[in-house]
Amino acid sequence: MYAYTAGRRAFEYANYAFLTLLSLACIFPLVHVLAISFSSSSAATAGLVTFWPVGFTTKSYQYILDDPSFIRSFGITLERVALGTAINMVLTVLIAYPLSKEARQFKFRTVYAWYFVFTILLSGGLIPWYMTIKSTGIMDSIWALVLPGAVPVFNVILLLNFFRGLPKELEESAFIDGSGYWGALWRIYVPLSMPSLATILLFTIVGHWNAWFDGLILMNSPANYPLSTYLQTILTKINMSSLSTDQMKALAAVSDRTAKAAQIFLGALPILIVYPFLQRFFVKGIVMGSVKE
Amino acid sequence: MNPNLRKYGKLASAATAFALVLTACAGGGNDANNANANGNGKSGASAGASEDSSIPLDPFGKYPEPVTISYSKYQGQEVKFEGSDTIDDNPIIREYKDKLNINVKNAWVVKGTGDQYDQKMNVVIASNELPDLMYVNAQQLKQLVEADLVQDLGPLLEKYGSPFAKDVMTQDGGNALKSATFDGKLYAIPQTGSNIDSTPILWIREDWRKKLGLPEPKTAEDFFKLSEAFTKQDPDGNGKNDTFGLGLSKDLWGGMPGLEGFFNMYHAFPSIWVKGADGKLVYGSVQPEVKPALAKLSELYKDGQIDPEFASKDGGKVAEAATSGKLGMYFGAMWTPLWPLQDGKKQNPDMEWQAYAVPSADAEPAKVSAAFPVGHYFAVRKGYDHPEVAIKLLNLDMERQWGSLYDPVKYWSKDRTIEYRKYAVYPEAEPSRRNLNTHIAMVEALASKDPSKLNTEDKDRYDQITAYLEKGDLTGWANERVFGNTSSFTVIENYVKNNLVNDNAFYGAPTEAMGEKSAALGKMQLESFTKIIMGAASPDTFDKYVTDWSKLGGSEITEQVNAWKASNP
Repeated sequence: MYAYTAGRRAFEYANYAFLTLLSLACIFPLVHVLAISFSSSSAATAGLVTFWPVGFTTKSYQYILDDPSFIRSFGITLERVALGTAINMVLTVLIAYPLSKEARQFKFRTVYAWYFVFTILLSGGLIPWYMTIKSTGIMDSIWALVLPGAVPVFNVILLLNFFRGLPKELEESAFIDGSGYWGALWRIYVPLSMPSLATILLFTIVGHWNAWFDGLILMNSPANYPLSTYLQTILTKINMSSLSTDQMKALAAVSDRTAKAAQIFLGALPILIVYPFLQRFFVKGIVMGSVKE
Repeated sequence: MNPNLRKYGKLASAATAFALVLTACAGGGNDANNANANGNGKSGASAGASEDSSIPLDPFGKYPEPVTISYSKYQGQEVKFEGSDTIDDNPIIREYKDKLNINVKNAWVVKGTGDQYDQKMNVVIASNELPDLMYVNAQQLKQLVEADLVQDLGPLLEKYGSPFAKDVMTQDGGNALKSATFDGKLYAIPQTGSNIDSTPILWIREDWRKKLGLPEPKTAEDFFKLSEAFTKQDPDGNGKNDTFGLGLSKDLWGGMPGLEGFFNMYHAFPSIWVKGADGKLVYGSVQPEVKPALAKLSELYKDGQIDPEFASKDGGKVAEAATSGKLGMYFGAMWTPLWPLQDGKKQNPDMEWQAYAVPSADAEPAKVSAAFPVGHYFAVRKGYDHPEVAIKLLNLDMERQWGSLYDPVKYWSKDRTIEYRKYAVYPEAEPSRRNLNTHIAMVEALASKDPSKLNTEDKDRYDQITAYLEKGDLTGWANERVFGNTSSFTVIENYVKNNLVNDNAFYGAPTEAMGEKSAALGKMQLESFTKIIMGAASPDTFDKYVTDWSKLGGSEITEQVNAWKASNP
């Protein structure tokens, strides 16, 4: 170790102060939402709540847990995340492995690689996307949420590069011991790629959890909305320039900030819990995939 | 689209990645499909005409055979259900079946905001999977009419419409129906609303005004005195200089708060179209009357009578300022006592707000801007065999919601918290004078202490108002401020009586240039007005704004608006 110069020390202090402020700036909105969700309704409307609940109550949480549509949407999202993540992960691994081979081993590698990359470069746009899904007949079902995005090409490329970074000798030794490609993939590559897989897993889970637009467009009934679509429909601000008295009354009924805050918080909670466990792989995973060798 | 797909089928199977591109190409195939649909439409319509005997002529007559209509349903955020009811199966849907023998099936439902619904409708229109009866906005209706995808409903409304439904459609003087008429044919039923309900009202902290001993704002002069006093004379008596005279939000316009009323004082009508001196339509935001109003606003701002941070505060923040007693006046809509002022009254019972008519800067009384209230329409797909079903449903909905069939026991949940009206096909289409009539009946009932003539919804309001007036129950305060003796509608009634309502003179679908340019022009207007108010630019830059506006598409829009006017006299 070397002695810190005054300049270095000043930098460290400034650095820590800056980063602390930055992380506080990230945490405060969440704490604010949490405080509102536990506050009495009148205190929340009057804007009295900052970082500590005013007039503590768990009423909003009771209200939500009694609301069948919140629970139902929550269930659909869980189903979507489980199903969608499983499909995404399996397909990503199965596609990345052959594409990580050289053209000598896998003749049409380049053709296939371009076939996938093409979808990143050019997409059909909203209407063709909708029509394609409509004509497959999966509209209004859970499959419409998981199948159209079944192959996340960006993740395939990430994993493909990671596979390439692993020493070939490992695979060769497996072949010598009598393993085929299938065995090499599941026994050598997948166990060695855990950091990278964890990263992709996190991307996928968060992606499915947050996606709301496809739910809005592809579901024909609000009963089938996933959670983020449901939240989007209740949280988006109504344009207040021209409201009738009826709409106004309705707005007064739904503009219950405490209930909304509680729903936001419950909606974010599962991801908040998953994040720390996967996050430690996060940085490592991407870096390892890119700088090996 | 199938022929095109088949033609390229082999290629597609060779490289499925091109499928997306192909689907885009298949858009061309759509036209063929449309043509087909149109062909069917014509034969369908003529078949319908010859089958007239199977359609009951009585507006409320029941079909001998069940008729099915698919419908695109928009479900607001607030809609709730009782027991096992759903949006697809509820008392209203069952009533359509029982009374008219019509099966209303939701082709799809979007719950959320109107914008989110419009997005889905756009996709559905583009993919040509239209439901029989569609709830569309003005832009979409225009597209559908131009693509010849919807039916003429005019003769059907004439033939099958009930007198009351026709009355509701024409209560605003006929502009709503005109806005759905293209080349003399009525292509949709407008979702009627109230133009007079949108007129601006001057809201004043009455307790502050009385405390400071200032006169009611009969003139603009009085208004400015109030604004100054509310800012500088510490009206809340807390010893701090923390109050503002006039409330402004970053959007400038709107119901809570909006500057329309302020400009109306100067006989300026920003954001709406008005008749110019030569009889042609001109845009209110670029007229010379706007300039002195902007100059005055910048004076008020400089003097600290407007929140210096208004340019970053939305309506919700201004609402907070009003309810927490930091604001003395604002121009806003008639409903603002219901939200947000009621919250303020609950927290501080001494707080009192009073509605005043917009004062005038000179001897001539100020006319007030009224928005065109129709934003959505109900259109029937070409090719649907029973277009008159749309009219039958309208008859029943109007009668049940606002007419003789209104029954608060039958059409409300037992605990009276859920109103079934929201499940109807035409849930919001309301008579233009509905609220005004409520006020007039309310004043009579309050005077005679006899609520027997009121309908049940208004009876509820009457009970709340009397509970407030007699027992001081604060929950009735907002209704008293909106419908009571000296309320929002006292002001609006005077606007109507004295012919001071200045309707938006343009009520067609957005013109082509509007679609392309009005967003950018609106942004430019907001920026230049905000800069002038905040003193970052002198009021003289308004002239530059006017020339820029014309150059950047304003003159083109004006031409198109006047072309519309010429074809819709």
